[in-house]
Amino acid sequence: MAALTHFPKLRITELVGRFGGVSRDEAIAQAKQELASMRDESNDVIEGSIKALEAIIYAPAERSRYSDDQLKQILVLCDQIVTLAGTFEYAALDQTTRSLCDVADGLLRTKKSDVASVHVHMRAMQMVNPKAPPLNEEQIKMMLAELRKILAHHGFDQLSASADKISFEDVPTT
Amino acid sequence: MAQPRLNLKNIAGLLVDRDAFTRGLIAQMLRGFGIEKLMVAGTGAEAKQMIQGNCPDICFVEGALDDMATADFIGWIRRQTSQALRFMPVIVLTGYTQLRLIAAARDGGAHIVIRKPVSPQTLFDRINWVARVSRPFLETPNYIGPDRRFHSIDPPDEKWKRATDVPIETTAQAS
Repeated sequence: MAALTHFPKLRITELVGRFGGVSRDEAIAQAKQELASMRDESNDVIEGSIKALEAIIYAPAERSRYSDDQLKQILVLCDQIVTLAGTFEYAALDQTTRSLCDVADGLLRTKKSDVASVHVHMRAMQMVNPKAPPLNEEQIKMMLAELRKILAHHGFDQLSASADKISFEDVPTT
Repeated sequence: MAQPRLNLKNIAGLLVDRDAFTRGLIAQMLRGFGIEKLMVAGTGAEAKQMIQGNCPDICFVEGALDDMATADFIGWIRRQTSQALRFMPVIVLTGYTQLRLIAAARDGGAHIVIRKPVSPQTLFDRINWVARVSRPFLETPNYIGPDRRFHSIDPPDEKWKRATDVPIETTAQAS
């Protein structure tokens, strides 16, 4: 099959240009307002996901290791928490959960056995849960530094570092 | 300078994400932008059914679906006979643990990949870009999707990643 090049006319191109609509600032302000109304519900979801994580993390398949299925479940739950923590700007929870993702992903890829590192992350996440009493900046800094040591000890990469660098995000903003 | 206006009122969108709450979050943002016709699906199979019944103008799909690879889902869209469907802009939203899937989504024929968490600013700008910048659509034995080459467009932050990535103007001045 020879390579074909089309120059399609998209319906969306025609529709977005029609009279009316909203400016960028208006659209973003409205979307932010919609998001803000979901903050409480999001906190409940985060708490629920942390509880679901605890159920998996405190019951490893073997005494010193998690099964692949358990690690995959941990990643799915963490992914949701990272999304919510990022959206609602819970920086400490975001970084702690990303670190747990990196550990779980590393354990899954290298087939290493380690329950303690995951437990430490779980406790850290409980401490930075939006519904927990807030930690001060110094405490958070210290906690994140300890989590980084775990990652360094295992030699695991950050998932963001191992991601494909050819991202489509580099497009012009208007 | 006046900001460009975007009329999304009559756009039909399809949002596919396995997580109900995340789906709700993105849907709220899109509704905030003015999209009134929004279909939501939790799986690829559900999304396929919806697509066949109503042809959306734009699709937002997460990087890892439960029942099929997102790249396969996009590939299925790209092989449809209806041109409106085949050329439909597809925006992939990838979570932190799905970052390794970026290349697969790109090779599957996605228009753009955005990392979660998605801010309203990013989402709005990307929709605007996909809707306004016309890109050639390629059909080859190995790839069906929008042209992935962006060499004629400067990066938004003006940070050049390679020594050869210099604007044409700069090259002309240097020579």
